[in-house]
Amino acid sequence: MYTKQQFGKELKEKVAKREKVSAIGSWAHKTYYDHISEIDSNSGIRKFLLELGTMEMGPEFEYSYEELDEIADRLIAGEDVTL
Amino acid sequence: MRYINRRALLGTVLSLFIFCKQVPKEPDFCTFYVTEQEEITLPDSVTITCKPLLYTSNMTTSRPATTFDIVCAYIHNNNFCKWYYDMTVHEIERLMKVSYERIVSEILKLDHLSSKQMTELWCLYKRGCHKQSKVDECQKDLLEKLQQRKEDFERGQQRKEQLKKQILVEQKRLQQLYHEDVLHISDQNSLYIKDRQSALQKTIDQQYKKYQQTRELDEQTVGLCMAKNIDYQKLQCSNGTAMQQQLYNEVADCYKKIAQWFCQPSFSENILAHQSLEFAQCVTEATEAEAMQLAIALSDLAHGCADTVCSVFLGVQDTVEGVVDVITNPIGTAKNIGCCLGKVMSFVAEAMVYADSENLGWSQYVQVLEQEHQYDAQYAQQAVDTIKSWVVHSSAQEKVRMGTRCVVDVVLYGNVFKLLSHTSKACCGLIAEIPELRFLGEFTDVYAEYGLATNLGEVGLRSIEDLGLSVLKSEVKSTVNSKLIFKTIKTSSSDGANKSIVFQAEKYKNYKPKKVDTSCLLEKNLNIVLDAEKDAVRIRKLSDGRIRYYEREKAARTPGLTRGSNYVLEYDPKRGIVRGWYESYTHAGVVNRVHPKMFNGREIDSLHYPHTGEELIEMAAKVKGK
Repeated sequence: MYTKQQFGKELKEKVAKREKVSAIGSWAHKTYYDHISEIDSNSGIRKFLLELGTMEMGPEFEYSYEELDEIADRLIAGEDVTL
Repeated sequence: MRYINRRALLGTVLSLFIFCKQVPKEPDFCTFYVTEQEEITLPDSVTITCKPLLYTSNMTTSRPATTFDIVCAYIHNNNFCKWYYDMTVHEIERLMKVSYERIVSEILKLDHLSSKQMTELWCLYKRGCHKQSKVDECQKDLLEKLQQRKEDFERGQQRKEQLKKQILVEQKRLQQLYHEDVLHISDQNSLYIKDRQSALQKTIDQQYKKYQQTRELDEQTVGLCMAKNIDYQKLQCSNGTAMQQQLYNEVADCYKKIAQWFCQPSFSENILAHQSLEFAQCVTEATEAEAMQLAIALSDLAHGCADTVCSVFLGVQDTVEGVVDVITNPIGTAKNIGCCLGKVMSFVAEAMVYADSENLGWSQYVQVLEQEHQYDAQYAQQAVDTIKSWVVHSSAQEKVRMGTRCVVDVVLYGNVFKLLSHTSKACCGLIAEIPELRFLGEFTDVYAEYGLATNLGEVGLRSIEDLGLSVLKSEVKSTVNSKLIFKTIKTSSSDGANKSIVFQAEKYKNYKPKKVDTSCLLEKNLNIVLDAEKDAVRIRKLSDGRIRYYEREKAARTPGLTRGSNYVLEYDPKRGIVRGWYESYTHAGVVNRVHPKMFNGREIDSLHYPHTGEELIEMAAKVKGK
């Protein structure tokens, strides 16, 4: 099962590497399709990943690294994060 | 009641020890009433009553009864012998008199008898024997031979089982081969769609039976085939299923189409005509190899090329006759030529990926593509002229509206065509691997629907035009020089765009398409649609049956032209296609940008349409750098 915590850890790594924010958005979308069979459809993770994916639609949708890092921490802590 | 001696009984017991599993069905004319089930060691107290229907006397015995007892009792009765051994009494009697040396081979000659029956005859024979050593020797020999016979029989049975399994596997293969999904690869604009459907149905109805069919080829077609060394006799009398016959018909039609231009002076220079003929030959080979999807895709390709040839020749004629004064849609002409090929090439690439390409399609396709071709100078020049004409005469608005998508298409498809012509399998790898090329066509309707690409800057447009023109000009130059373009570019050309293409081609030179498990994709598609349906905040049904699921809109985080963006998933139940993209909206709710993300469960690495500022800068930098 692919969980929010797991995604949070991976997100944190991406942020630490200072990968382009739009690329992180693209990666979030890809993560959904890569793990589609492992995602609990009631967990809300799908919505979260697709919404985070909008970051690649332009700078107006991007979060800062600090914000993304905070989101990652909250995910790891098991909190419900709404974008 | 006949006397049954002890030796016979012992023989019976021995034979039943060995062959007790093979007791034949008792004769209909004799019903036994056995107080206990017949066993090897029956106690003497067992009583049987035999009530022969065809024989007058009843038989009662207080001795253990086996079929051998019955044999002993009736062995001198001709009817019994005929029924039980399919032999006359005379033949049995003769057998009983043969020498020790021959008895085993004589018994074994009676191949129609079961092992048990042979043993019974041996036991009958043994009753009259006196030399125990000879009897033992014969018996040992017989038992060995019978054991061998039994093993041979079992091997035969196994072979039969294997054969049965093979037939089942073949049946399954045919069912998959001629499943209705095979038609999904068809070009939706193909004239043969209905014919293919009915041919497929006929194939299934006829249990995949193959039959011979003859077809008439006119003199012009035969002439073309002879001149081009094409084996047209295969078509004149072909053997295959209804679906295969349909594809042979399509090949014949393709030859006919090309044959009408055979006498044109520029025919020999026309690469499209040659390609069409070669693809058509590939259809024949793919059909013979029962690579049906590939054959269908190749047939569409062959006809696509043939149709383009017709339009090119017609265009030339029109020009000569001065019929056409103005090209009303110049970019459309260029686009059609490139797009027509590009589209079918995409289908072929898809087919190669989905089909068992390593064994069937790939090698056949490569054979054609490995032959290097001259480019069609006439077509290239025409395309350059039409683009130039359009650039000069159209308004800025028209440029923006039509140019972006069409010119990009021409450039992209132009590249595809060139690569296909000159770098054979490398280009197929390119098509299969670069989603931007493969899926561009799949999303054009979305861009058109939203009237996108309206804010592409002049810089971007010029860059694309420049790139397109440079590609096409180099094609013309190379053709005029009558040199193989691939080699020319590789060795001497300084043209950046072409170098890039060669580089890309080189990259995929050793590409082999991966086999794709489509069942896995289907399941993935189903999950994707179910999830989207569950989370959708809005569902829109289109008139052609497509369903779009809209995710919640995510608001832009900074003020500007764009209000928000969301993910859209579209499911086409008719074609079984699922595709997904992000779209963003202006404050008036109008879609102002689309980004294709997924096609049938596969991630797409695509540009935004219209391109983002960042993408435009990258493109311009590339062109400038080159």
